[in-house]
Amino acid sequence: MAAIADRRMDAFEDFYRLYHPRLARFIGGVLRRAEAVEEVLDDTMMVVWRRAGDFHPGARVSSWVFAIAYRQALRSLPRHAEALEFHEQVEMEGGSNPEAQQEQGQLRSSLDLALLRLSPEQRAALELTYYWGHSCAEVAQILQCPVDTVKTRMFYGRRRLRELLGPEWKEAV
Amino acid sequence: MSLVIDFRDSLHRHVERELPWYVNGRLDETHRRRIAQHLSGCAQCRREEAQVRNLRAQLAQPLAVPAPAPDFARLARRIAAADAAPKPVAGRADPRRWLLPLGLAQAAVLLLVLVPALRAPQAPAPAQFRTLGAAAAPAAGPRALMVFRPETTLADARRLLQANGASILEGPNAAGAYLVALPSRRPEQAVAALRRAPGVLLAERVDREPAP
Repeated sequence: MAAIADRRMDAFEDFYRLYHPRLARFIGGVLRRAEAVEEVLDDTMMVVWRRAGDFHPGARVSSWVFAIAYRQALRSLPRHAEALEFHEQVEMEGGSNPEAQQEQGQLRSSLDLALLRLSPEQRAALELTYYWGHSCAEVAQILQCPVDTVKTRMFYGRRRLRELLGPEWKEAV
Repeated sequence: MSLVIDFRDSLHRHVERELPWYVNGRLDETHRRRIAQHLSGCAQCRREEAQVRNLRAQLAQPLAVPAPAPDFARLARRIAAADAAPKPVAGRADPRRWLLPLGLAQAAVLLLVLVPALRAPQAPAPAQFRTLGAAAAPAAGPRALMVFRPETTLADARRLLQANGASILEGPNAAGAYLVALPSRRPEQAVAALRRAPGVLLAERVDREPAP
């Protein structure tokens, strides 16, 4: 981080290579759609390049970077809202049509579709806890919210998935 | 009696809320033991635990959406473009500000050349390169834009410049480039010597149109 703050492009490139796959996964997990991932990832890298000097040496680099990525992902959502609504409509219509559902089934499971109906804040908490294995305090630090809020998001996120999946919940989960 | 029910209810709620971290192994030992104890005597919470475990296993799978391919060159171009873009300056003009954007703008163009060039050294420099000299300040003494190799230390760079009668004017900018003052006597010779030095990636006159 110190080297990046010193404007060392070589150090930044190393950082980019290391964090690109991690950020692609995290941002993809929060947004759950491909369109905006690349844009949010680049926006995140731009902030890292500009703000590397603000990083506290004692802090965890990954938490700092993920916090930036989370904010950038949330900021991107209004920009993509229209495309998002359209996709959701198509997917929901597909969901009620057994043939279309069968076609889509190859690409997206019911769980993937249900995850799209959660808030990005809930998806971020699920992603950080289940995929990245963070503690509740770490998730709260990355999402910049109280620990209790994280627990609530996790609880209601799970409950909502159960409602959305209905009888499929037991199969999917 | 109702107190007991309330207590059990709130315990269920507590356990339900903590299950994600019980399952991912990130609870502290005291907390973990308390929840394990409750689970051993509560079938309802055990069913919930099984579902949380399955949900975790599902979400640990690779994403259905394809990941974008890394493209550092694209990001480097974006940084260069952002650095080259004129920034609104409030208040009185600082004379040094004239120099800095000059160096940044040149480096931005340079980076377009440099980043692909690092990957493919045989790639010819694009036409923009010729505009470098045109953008440079006239009649301010001979100057060069320099980029050192990443492994070159600042002390090495200074020694090298000193040996050739040159000195740093500005930099490094975002692209890692320095604007360097060349000796007024035989500047071309100095820049050629700098270019040949092993620690130097690039040394180019910017005070006049480079020879085609």
